[in-house]
Amino acid sequence: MNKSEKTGKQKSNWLLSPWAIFAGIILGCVIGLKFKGLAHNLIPFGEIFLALLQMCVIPILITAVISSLARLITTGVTGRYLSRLVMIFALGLLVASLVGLSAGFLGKPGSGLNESSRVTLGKLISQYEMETISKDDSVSPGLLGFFKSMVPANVFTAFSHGQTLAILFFCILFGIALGFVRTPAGGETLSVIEALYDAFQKLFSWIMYVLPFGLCFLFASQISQVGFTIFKALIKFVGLCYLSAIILMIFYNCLIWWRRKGSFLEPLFALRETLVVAFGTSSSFAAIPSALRCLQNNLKINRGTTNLVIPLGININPQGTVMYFALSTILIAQIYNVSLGSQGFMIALIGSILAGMGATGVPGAGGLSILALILGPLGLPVQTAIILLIAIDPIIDAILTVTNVYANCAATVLAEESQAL
Amino acid sequence: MIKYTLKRVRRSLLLFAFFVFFIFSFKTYAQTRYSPDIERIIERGKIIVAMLDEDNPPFFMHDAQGNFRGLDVDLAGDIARNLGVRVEFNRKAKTFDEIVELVFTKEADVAISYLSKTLERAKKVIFTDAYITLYQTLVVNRLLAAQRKWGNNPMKFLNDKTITISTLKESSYITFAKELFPLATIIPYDNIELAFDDAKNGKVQAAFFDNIFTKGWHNSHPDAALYVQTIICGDKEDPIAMAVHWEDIHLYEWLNQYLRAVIKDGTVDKLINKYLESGG
Repeated sequence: MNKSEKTGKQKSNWLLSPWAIFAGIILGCVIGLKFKGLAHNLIPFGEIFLALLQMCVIPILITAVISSLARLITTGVTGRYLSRLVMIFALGLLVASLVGLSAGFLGKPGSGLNESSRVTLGKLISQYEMETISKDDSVSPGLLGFFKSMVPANVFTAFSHGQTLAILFFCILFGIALGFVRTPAGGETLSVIEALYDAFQKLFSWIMYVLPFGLCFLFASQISQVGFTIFKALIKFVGLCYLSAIILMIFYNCLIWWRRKGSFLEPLFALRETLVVAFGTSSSFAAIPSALRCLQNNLKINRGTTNLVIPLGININPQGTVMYFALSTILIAQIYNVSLGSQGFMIALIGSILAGMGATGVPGAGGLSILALILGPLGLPVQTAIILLIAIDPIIDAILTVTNVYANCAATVLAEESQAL
Repeated sequence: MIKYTLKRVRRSLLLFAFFVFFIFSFKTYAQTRYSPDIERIIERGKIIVAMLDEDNPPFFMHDAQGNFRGLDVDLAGDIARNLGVRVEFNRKAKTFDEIVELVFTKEADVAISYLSKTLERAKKVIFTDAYITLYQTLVVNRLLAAQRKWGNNPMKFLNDKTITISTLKESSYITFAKELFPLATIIPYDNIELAFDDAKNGKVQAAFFDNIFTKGWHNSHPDAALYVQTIICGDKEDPIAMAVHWEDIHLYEWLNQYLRAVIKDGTVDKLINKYLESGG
């Protein structure tokens, strides 16, 4: 590397600093709040940045899962490792669901809503139902739908349509199969896939230089579109959501700290870029490349572990979403004055986990229709819950994404340690 | 001579009689400027409009200042203006069927009272063209629907022996409800607002009336959508029309001509929106 190249890199390195990212976010917020016209004009730029981030996600997901599983099979520690991984995910999901339910029972977000809050919610539902009166024929995908969306009839269609659950399912099977191909060609194919993974990660690291600008655009457009009326009506619920998310993140931080034995804030600092990308984009998938990079480079986690646990966890271990569904169930029950009882509590506890897992495969508001899985057996109105959660989504989505991503970073650290045991 | 005199007297009498007949017939001709049914109203100097005794926003109601207003009140006033008379409201009727009776017995010239055009009523009076078409509308208690696992389309579950549906007593909606949900128990309410409130509070599974009233009720109960789901039956029309006595054919034609004009120039739509937005 010659001197001018080195100086150029140093010059642009400030773009990667937390201060630049922070400045981008603040600027975006200011534009979103004060200059709505400009914020509106920045929407396409925000979308371009999001597309740029997502451009690398599917290729990274494919190469990461295939290479990590194939390597795992060749090293031969699969059975015990995978069962521990499943245990980590299951316990994490249970904790998340319990935190959501406890926050709901203790904080009582839906009890005693005042007149103006009820009016806001009533108007919101009225307006939504009027807009969707002709197309109100949505059917909940249910658990069977979840498994159906997991198996791709045509893997190339799944790739081109970004059906991540189906892609993941195929990659897991393909990775295992590749691990069993004990020929030189098999080994070379694995090396090629690993090289492709490295190339995509390199590409992603370049995209990170425009992160401050991208976040500025995204925040400006998001903040300008947030409806604050609904925020006021459900302020207690939003507050409890943030509080539960923070409690969960402190819990994840403790887990990583307990395993890594460094400074308490080290995990947060090491994963700051990932968490900021997750918060700014409200997309767990967009944060995958950054999570892999930060875990490998900053926390020195084994590449095989990160490449398997992160893509898998983002798909089936959405702990933030599970907490949110549990809390939302309590909110709806309290709005309608329905007492859950111990049976209802168990339905909410397990239903939130299943619904949370099912919702990740379906993008946007469509995923919320899976709430029928919890609210149906409890005899609570699903349609109202979906409308309220769609309305509140822009305020909540970012913090839930951060929780989901941080949960999986913690799971990766735990899986790494358990692999070493 | 006497014969001649009698002849002259008879001729004079005939002439006088002819003159009297001529004068009287001229006077009658001059007074009968319109057809008898219109003339009756003009001669009286007022048109008597039959209207239900209880207010029915946005069709007829009293505002906070006590002014009598609404779509039907405005239309009645405009009709009177066009006829060159004043309007008098006969609000003796306690039910919609009694309004029809007032017109049938000629106690009122016309019924302008949020009146549904039904075959049964058309046996007694003549209905004009509909000036507004309403749709049969249900509000279903969300919690009761969820507990019975009805999903997003509760309509198909409402025709059941265990279901209670509230609507206004002695209104066409009793018949409509019985047609749509023959197995369900239809509960007639004196006050339709109370019928809807009971659906909101879960005392009945659903309340049944028209879309305009439902819209007004939602406006005055803005939190209601949280507790009830509204379903407009798009294929179940409820035409609202004026009714006149079966003999008053010319008045009927005149009203139809008037209604065609106010529907075409958007007056009816403007008025209904004005009263709905002002909270009925």
